Amino acid sequence: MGAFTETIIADARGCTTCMACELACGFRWSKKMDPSQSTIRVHRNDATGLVDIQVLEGCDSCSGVEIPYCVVVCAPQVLSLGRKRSKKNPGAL
Amino acid sequence: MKRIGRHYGWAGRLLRVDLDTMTCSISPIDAYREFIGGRGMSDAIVFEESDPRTGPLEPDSVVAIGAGPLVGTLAPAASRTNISAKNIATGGIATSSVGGHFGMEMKFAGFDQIVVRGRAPHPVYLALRDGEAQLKDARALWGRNTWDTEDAIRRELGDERVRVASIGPAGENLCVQACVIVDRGRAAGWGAGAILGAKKLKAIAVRGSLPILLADPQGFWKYNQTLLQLIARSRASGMLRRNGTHGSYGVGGVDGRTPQGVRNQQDEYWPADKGQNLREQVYREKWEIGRTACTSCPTSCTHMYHHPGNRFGSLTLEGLHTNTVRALGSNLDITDADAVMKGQALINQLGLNIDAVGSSMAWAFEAWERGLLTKADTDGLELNWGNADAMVELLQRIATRRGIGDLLADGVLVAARKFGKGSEEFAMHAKGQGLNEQSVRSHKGWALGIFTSTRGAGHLNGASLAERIGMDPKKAKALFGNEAVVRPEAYEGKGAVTAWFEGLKSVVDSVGLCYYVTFWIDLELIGLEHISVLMEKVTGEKADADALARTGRRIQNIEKGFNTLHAGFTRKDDIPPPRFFESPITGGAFAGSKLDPEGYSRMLDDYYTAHGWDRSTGWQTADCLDELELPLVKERLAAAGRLA
Repeated sequence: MGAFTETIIADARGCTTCMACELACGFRWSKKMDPSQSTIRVHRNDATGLVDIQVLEGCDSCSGVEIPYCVVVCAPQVLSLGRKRSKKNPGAL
Repeated sequence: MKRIGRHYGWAGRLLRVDLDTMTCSISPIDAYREFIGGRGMSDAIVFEESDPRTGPLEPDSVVAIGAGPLVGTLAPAASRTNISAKNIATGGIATSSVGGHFGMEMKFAGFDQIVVRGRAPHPVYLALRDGEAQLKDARALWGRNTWDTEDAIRRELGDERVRVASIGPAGENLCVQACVIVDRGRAAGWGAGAILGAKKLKAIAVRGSLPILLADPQGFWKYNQTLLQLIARSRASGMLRRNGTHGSYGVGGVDGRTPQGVRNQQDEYWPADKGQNLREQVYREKWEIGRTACTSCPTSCTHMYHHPGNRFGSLTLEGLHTNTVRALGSNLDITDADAVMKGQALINQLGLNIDAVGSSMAWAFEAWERGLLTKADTDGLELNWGNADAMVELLQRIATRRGIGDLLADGVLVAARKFGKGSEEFAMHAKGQGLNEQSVRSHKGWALGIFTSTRGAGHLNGASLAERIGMDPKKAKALFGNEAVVRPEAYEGKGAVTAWFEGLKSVVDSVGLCYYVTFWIDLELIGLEHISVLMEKVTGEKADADALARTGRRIQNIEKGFNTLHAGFTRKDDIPPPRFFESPITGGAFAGSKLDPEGYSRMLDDYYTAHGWDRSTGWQTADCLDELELPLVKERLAAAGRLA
């Protein structure tokens, strides 16, 4: 098998842009409050009110941790740990 | 970048901006750490550095803007930025706490406090990044609204993640109601917008990548999960999460039992059919596209609305909170949901304080009802109760000081005194600060908290929600020594509980939490014991709940001392306008309710006693200030002959 990898799944529609995920992710990497280290990025477009959530390269879904840090602190529960088809081997089943 | 010592929680830097000389200097914040941060630190600086002879709009006035040690740490709703200054409406202290994400970014930019004095030769804005501060030309921004200003600054700095606190036309035009707007939809300042306007400081922009260090990272992370679980279990937090402040406590709120100011607070009963269109549920079902939260807040009490188009055009905005719907709705007898939404956008864009501008408009509408104001005074604008378009127009006239707006922009009390004709009688204010309230007649402790608030009006200091949220009487008795504190109509025990909540709020504002995740709304939520643990894990410094409570009282006494010294307030200034004693609520669950002068007076006695202040004058005593180790406050009050 090996065709799927674990990843952070985001449903931006329910995001409140509280930025807790960025703070938690930065904390996971540095043990400080340091969102510049975060591998998740949240941004609200002021003109439309809509939210964009980007999971950046470098995110390992908190490998070795039961629940990823960003998922733990996400009060509206718009982040979850899911599986997606691996880009490296998209055709494999 | 200026190097400073290692700090946990605090960024460590205090920035001083002198606009007379257009210079910035940075020093460690250590000298003020005894006052925690945020409001406490800002108050201490403003008290120390303000001369009672200096008016708030004069160059030598001081404004302090601070974010506490918990801000930006992921602690629940640790998002608040405090602004302290001399109050343009009262002459005493102005403190105001604002959410959003400005405080967090200010910390990451490397600063805990910004102290501004002087007057720039031309409009400027202050840009902070990674321990550096720069004053930049803002001539091109002058005259623009706060939303355009935020966008323009982000474009100029080439970074969409810059956070901005700015003033709009109201601040530039020195309106007494002017405030500072953060993140487009959040307001602070109790008139500080006008003070920044007088200083020609259009905005402050913050952005940074300096980490906040934690004394006990793993301990903090674990304890924070415990607090998040408390909030997740809280019924009061759940109500706010579902309904916001509008649905929870506002017009047509979920309990339907909250008396609201109606027609300039002539009444506090608005029949259900009147409020039907302005219920939170109506806005939610028609226009809500999401919810928004301040930094690390699990409650997200704010709605994000999009209106595709009405007679005012299309709108995307954050709102509405309970005070907005009251000020632009019931207190003007307006039932038009579109206009109230437009009004919300305007107060944010123009940089107006909803409570202050609401009371000014309500005064004008009542003056019209009484035939004192006419078309000749208003350039044809008809200020009949319920005239929604007049409200929308009046907001713009006030912010730009056009026509009748010029008079109203001086604040409700000064406008009434200038206008005369007996109109001061119905200027609704506390210590000169415009009043936009609910439940003043029915909820006695709530009323006491509003009228003893050091900043003038406002229910976000000592006003206790214990009367309003179904607090368990046994728990209330254990905490406050009196079950009566949960009964709205009782006067017993309310003085002590008001003083207690004042202390709690002083601490909450100083560490940087939001009041809505605390004891204030639910005894199961964050109290001083929790804050004590959080502070130790974040800063490494131990202060138990009693020590924090004492610091809260010290902060409260600095503000009280400022008021006595600068504004000369006495006991009479802590008493509500006659309307609340004379005309009862005419309907609803609290029909017939009004304040009783003797009952109120007893509460006030108890309140002063709880603080250790003198009952006859309301002033502080030498013993009280000695016990709290506030020698500068004592010395200045004694020199002014205002120490009891």
